[in-house]
Amino acid sequence: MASSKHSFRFGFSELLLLVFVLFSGIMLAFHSGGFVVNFQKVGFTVLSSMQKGVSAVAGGIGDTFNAVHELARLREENKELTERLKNYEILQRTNTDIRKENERLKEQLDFSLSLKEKNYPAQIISRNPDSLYSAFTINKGSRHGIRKNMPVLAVQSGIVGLVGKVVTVGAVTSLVMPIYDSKCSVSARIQNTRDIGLVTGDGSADSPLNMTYIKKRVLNELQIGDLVVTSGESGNFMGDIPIGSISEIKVLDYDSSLSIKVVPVMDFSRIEMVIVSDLHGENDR
Amino acid sequence: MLKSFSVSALILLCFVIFETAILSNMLFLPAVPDFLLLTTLYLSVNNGKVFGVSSGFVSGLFLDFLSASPFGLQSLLRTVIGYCAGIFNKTLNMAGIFLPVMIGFFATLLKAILIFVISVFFADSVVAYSLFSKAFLFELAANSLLTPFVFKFLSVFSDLILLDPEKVS
Repeated sequence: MASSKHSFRFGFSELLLLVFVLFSGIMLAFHSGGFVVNFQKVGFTVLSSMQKGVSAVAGGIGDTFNAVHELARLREENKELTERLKNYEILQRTNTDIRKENERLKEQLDFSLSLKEKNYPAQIISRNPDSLYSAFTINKGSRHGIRKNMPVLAVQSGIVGLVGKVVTVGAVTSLVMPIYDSKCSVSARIQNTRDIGLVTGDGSADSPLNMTYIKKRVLNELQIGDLVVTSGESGNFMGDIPIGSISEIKVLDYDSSLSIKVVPVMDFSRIEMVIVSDLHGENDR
Repeated sequence: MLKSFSVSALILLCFVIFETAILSNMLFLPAVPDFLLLTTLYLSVNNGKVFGVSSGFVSGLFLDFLSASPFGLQSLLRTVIGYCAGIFNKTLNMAGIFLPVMIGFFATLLKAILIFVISVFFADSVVAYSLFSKAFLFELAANSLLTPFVFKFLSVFSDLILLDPEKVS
């Protein structure tokens, strides 16, 4: 019987598909295991270094354009100021911006100095491209002293909050998993009652965090707005770092624990600078 | 073939850096358009299954290195998408707007379905798309609408990245 024109034939493309699928599948299967060579780390180091370069170039180009634009604007202003000193308001606005930036950096510096633990201020240079996972890349890596699982904090409007933890370390960059990632869990404590639970993310920066393992018997002692802080018991995070505040408490009939929603203290869409803390080192600044 | 593949890999590398270093920082976007997927589609449909599988794998590997997804997920996903798109080699006309939009639309849907299938096997580490989430719907729309433009852009490099149709298997 003659074979059909469209019958399946196992050719080179199918062999290649099989090899690549097997390779990817094995990598995925052993993702949490420890190979001698960590492919992800090697690849992350190489590519994120390029990423850092592009980010720096993009920033540089942006700054150059801004600088040229600013120069042109200043010339105009100068001309007008010489004549009538008209654009005083624009200068004042620029001054306000600089002052605000100074305040932000001072806030960051003060917090960095106040920490007992050794810490590394870092800038966020990129974020995760897909919407399924949440992570961002910071411009500090193993060369600067960053190690895996170090806690990441930030200061926003004078409030210190937990941001996440370092999950992959490259030579000059690191990948940080934020607390709202669905894979991130933090041992936490309700500040007022001192009850310990587990805070997990929902995968979105806009969604509240979930706090579990808080017993129903403490329901009457809890209030909306109560602060949730790190317990410091897991050894991964220092204690009493604010995570968020309680926004909703649900009693589930089928569960002995409460279902608590926690709104993070950090506005993740506005974070630019973070502080990576080394729990095993002392602050020598 | 080697030259085409090298140039294609370079284009994929540029797109992954563009996506992660620039687009991902635009926080007003609910999701980042998947330029790597669209590039893989263009290469697969034009150059066939072998090229599709290889470019899909390479693009996935780049993303695996730079994203927080479990290592191997993106390469597995995009290898399969590259193969599937390669099946349509010599059967789809990439010119115009309607067909590229459809290709982008169905490829993004296929991506979501494949992630769901993989998440069944790797439930602990792989998160599936929520089909009606704002992020996925935005990505679906963005990928679909951007496909004709990306194909048009890639056609500029057609001499460098496309194989001789006679040699494509």
